[in-house]
Amino acid sequence: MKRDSLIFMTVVPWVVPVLLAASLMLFLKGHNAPGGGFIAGLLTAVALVLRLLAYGSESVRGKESLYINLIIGGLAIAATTAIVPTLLGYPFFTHTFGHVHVALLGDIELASAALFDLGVYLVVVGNVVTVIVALTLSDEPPSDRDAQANGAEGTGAQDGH
Amino acid sequence: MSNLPIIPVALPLVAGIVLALIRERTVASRAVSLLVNCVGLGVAWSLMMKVQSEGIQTLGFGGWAAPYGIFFAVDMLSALMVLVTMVVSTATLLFACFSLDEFRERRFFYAFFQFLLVGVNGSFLTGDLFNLFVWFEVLLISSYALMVLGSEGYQLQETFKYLVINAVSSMLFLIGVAVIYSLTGTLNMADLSVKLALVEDQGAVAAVAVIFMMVFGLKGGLFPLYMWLPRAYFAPPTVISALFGGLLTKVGVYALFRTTSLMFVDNVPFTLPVLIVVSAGTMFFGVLGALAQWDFKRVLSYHIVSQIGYMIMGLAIYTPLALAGAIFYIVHHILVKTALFLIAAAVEKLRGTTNLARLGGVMESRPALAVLFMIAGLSLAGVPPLSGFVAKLMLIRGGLEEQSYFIVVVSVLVSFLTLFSMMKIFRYGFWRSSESADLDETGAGMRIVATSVLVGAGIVLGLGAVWVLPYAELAAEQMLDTQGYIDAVLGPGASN
Repeated sequence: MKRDSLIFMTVVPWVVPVLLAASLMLFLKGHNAPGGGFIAGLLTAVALVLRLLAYGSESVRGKESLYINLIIGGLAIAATTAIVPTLLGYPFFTHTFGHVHVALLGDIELASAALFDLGVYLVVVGNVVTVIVALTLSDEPPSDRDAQANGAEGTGAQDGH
Repeated sequence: MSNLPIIPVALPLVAGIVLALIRERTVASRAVSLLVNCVGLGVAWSLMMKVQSEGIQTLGFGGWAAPYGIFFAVDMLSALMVLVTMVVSTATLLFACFSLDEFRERRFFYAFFQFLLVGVNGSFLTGDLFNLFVWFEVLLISSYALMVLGSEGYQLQETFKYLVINAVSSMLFLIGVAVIYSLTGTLNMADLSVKLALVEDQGAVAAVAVIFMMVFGLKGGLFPLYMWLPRAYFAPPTVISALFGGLLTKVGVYALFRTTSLMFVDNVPFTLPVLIVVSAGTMFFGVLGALAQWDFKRVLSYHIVSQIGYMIMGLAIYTPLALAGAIFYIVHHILVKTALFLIAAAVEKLRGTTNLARLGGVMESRPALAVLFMIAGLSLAGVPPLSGFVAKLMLIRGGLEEQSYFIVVVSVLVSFLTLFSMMKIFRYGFWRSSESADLDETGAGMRIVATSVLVGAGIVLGLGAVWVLPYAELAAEQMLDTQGYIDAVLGPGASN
């Protein structure tokens, strides 16, 4: 992987926080406006992938199982928000909301649907990063990594479901 | 409203998540998946009992009223399909626990197995067209993972084709959903059943019907769209093929049954005549394909295609008797076909090949397998008193009553060819003496137990047809009575 572009490496640290902030905004807006966990997750994944492209695979090497666990965790959160209402006697997927007053920010609506969105967010981040890492990295030893540009067969392809 | 209809989906979902977390501990994974499947079996049974005693069960997600919310609507057809799904998946799982290699077990096999069940059960239970698309995707994504697991060259090659074909058909599905939504403004199938008749542009409705027939024809392996099936089902380990061969195409068939009866029979006059031709072609060309093959698994894969023709025959005749026959046929087929694939998997474990030219003598070293194959094979061909006979008898009687002699003749002919093809496997695979030696194997006993569960269920289905038929007849009755389905979903008192 080509990773010697000075401009790119300089710009990325500035772009990543902006992307993360935009992603947070989209996530919070999502309940009643365009946005939500899916698109926010994609944006966060883009930020992580930018770092991967800029600084090479060291930033993610060895963390593959972390991202897989992110998918599982997200799935667990989303499934829990759907299943808990059934245990309380409501129909599957029933959501609720409440209002909380926070100093400086005023009245904030907290919806249990946001938890479901959080699950979606984690699944998307984990999934996109897992797939891209699986497609970029091969299992060659680190010393050969620069010679791998022609792409050896990724062995982790089955992780990206 | 009770949450019972969601449990067959929620249970494997939770199990899949847990299994993904404990993926490194294979023994625990096996125990958890088997336990969950047994519980699921109980749930499916109680769901069916409830549908029988109280009629169609509905559940609106999040308490939203029909037709705005997503609805699960469970009639007898759905309940039967879920029950059979749980039966075959439990047996397949037991077999897989004693036949899969460690690598596949650790790489999320059990998790994806459960996610596949989420998709399959969801497709059977939902009453919403877009939701059906979503469940299809869930089961397809799991099936891609299961099919490619192990990453052998042939698997990668065939999975890629399978993926492309299914991506195309999913796209068509989505286009169909979009068109139907633009015509009627609803995606609830009961609501669609009412509103499609009111659409001014009936030509557009006919176009949608064609799109859906193509989509479900592709997924169900109907003539002339079945080309992908035999090769794709040959690629993964045989125990995974068993699950696919038994279940996946039947989800497409089920969806065709559901959409045809609710949406298209009354509005699109050419539906049934087209289905008759498709059914004859599926039966006939499927069995011809099987006759040309010299591999245990490939013969079975072509027979899936051929057998699907019989189910579509029942749908195309569209009388209570024929539909009950078709539903009985689906149940019989899922049990028997999965059993046959499991026998193929056991033979493959024993000899390391499924090539009939190199097999032989299995009857001497494993007489139990030969007996199981004989029963399942004869049942598939439709020899009395086994379940295939009952199913075919009903279909043929239904066809004769409606004077559809063409399809009846084809179906009888295809039955003979099926018998011939089964005997070919028996003759070359089991009977003749052979030089090839048995491989050292572990877990053979449990594999035979798992297979006999299914063959036993098939025998019960055949000999106990008297007890099973009322369920199939009720399912057919509910399918024909679309007003009953509509009232159950949309009517007052049913929602909430």
